[in-house]
Amino acid sequence: MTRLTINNQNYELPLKGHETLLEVLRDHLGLTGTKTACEEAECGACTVMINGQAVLSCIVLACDAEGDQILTIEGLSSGEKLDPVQEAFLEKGAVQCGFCTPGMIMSAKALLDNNPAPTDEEIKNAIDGNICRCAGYLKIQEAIRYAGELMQEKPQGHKDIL
Amino acid sequence: MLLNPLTHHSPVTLPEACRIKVSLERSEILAGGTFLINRLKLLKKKGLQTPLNIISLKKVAGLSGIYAKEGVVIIKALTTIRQILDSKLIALHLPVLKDISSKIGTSQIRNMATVGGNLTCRYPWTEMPAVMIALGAKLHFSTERQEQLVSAEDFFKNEARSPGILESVSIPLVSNQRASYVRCKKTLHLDIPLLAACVTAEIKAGRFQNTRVTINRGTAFPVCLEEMESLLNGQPAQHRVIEHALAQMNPKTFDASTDDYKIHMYKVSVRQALTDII
Repeated sequence: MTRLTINNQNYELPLKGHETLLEVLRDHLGLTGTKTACEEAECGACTVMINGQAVLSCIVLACDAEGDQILTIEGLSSGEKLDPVQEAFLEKGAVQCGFCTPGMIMSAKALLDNNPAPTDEEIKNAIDGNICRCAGYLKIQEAIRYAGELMQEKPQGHKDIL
Repeated sequence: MLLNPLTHHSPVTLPEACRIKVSLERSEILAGGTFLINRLKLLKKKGLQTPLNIISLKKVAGLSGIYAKEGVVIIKALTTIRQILDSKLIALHLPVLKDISSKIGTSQIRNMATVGGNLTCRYPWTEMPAVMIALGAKLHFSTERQEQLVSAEDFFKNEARSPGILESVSIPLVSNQRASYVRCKKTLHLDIPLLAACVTAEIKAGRFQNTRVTINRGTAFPVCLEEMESLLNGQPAQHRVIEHALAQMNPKTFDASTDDYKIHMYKVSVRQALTDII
C-alpha cells in the first residue's frame, strides 16, 4: 500500500508502481481539478504543489510522493472561503476557458507563499511553465500581483474606511 | 495508463541502490524524473521495451546539498536546479552555474530536475555537461564495491556511460577564474539549445591562462576545443587575439557534420563567451 498525504488528508492506495501522481489524483481519487493536457511536462496544466514547490504531476510517480505534502487546487479553498489567489483570479478576470487556471493558480501560490511581493520578472518566471491559450497572460500577471497584495492584507490603491 | 507496468524500489542507502541496480534486469535510476518519466511514456507509445524496475534515489540519505571543502565545491547528485539557483555559495563562487541554471526548463522543471540527472541522462543537448567540463569538474560514482572518480571531460568522451550511480560532482575553486556561458537557441520558444559555448580562464598579467573552451554541440556530447585553448593561452586577453584564434580554427574542429550556419554560430558563441571574460 502507498500512503499519500493530499490536501492534509491521508490516503492508503493499492498502487502498482507505474501510476503517475496525475493519474492517481484524477482516476483514483476523483480530484479532477488538476488537468490532463500534454502529459509531457510542457504545458503546466497538471501543476500541483509538493512540499511547497510547484511540480508537474504528470511526471511524478505517485509512489515516489509517499511522505510528501501534496497540495492540489481542491485544497486551496476552505469550504466557501477561497484562497486569496483564487479570489484575485476571479476579481481581475484572469480566467477565460479556465483550463489552465488550476495549474496557473498553483504556480502562483507556490511563488506567493514564499514571496508575496514579487517583481514582474519573478511573476513571469514563476508561470513560465504554464501555457494559456486564451487570456494572453496580462490579466493573469495582474491577478498574481493583486493576490500578493491580498495576502499581505494591504492592497495598494485601497483606502481603509474607518 | 501512461506507463507500462513496473516495480518501484525505494532504497535508503547508496550501497543498497547499487545492489538493487546490478541484481535486477531492465532497471533504471530515478532522480528528479524530468527526463525519465517522459522517456518511459514515449517508449510505451512507440511500442518499445521499457524498464521493469525503477530505483528511486529519493529516500537515499545524503544525496542532496551544496557545500565547500578544502577549495572544492561539492554538489550532491540529487541537488535540484532550483537549489543551485538559490544557493549563495554557488552565486559567490560559481556564478556561471547559477546563470545556466536559470535557463534550464521551466519553473516547475527547475524544482524537480537534478544536477545528476542533467549530467547522466545521455541527452547530448543538456546544459550542465559543457559547463562542468569547462570548470574541470569531477564526477563521483558509487558502485556495489567501490567508488569511482571520473573527470567530466573523460566521462563525456566516453559518451556519458555511467560506471555506477552518480553521488556527487566536485568543482575546484580557482581564484581569479572567469567564466561565461553563451547559448544559441533554435527558436525563441524552444528550450533546447542549438549549441552553446562555455569558456573559463584566468587572466594573469593581462594574458589568457588555463583557458578552457567547451562547446555543447546539441547533437553530440560536448567537447573541448584544445586547438583554440592553445591559440589563446599565454596571449594577451584582447579582441584581436580572439579574432585571430577563431580565424585559425579549422571549422570542422567545431563539428564535422554540420552546415555553414551552425559553424558560424559556434564562432559567434565562442567569441561572445571570450569577450565576456575579458
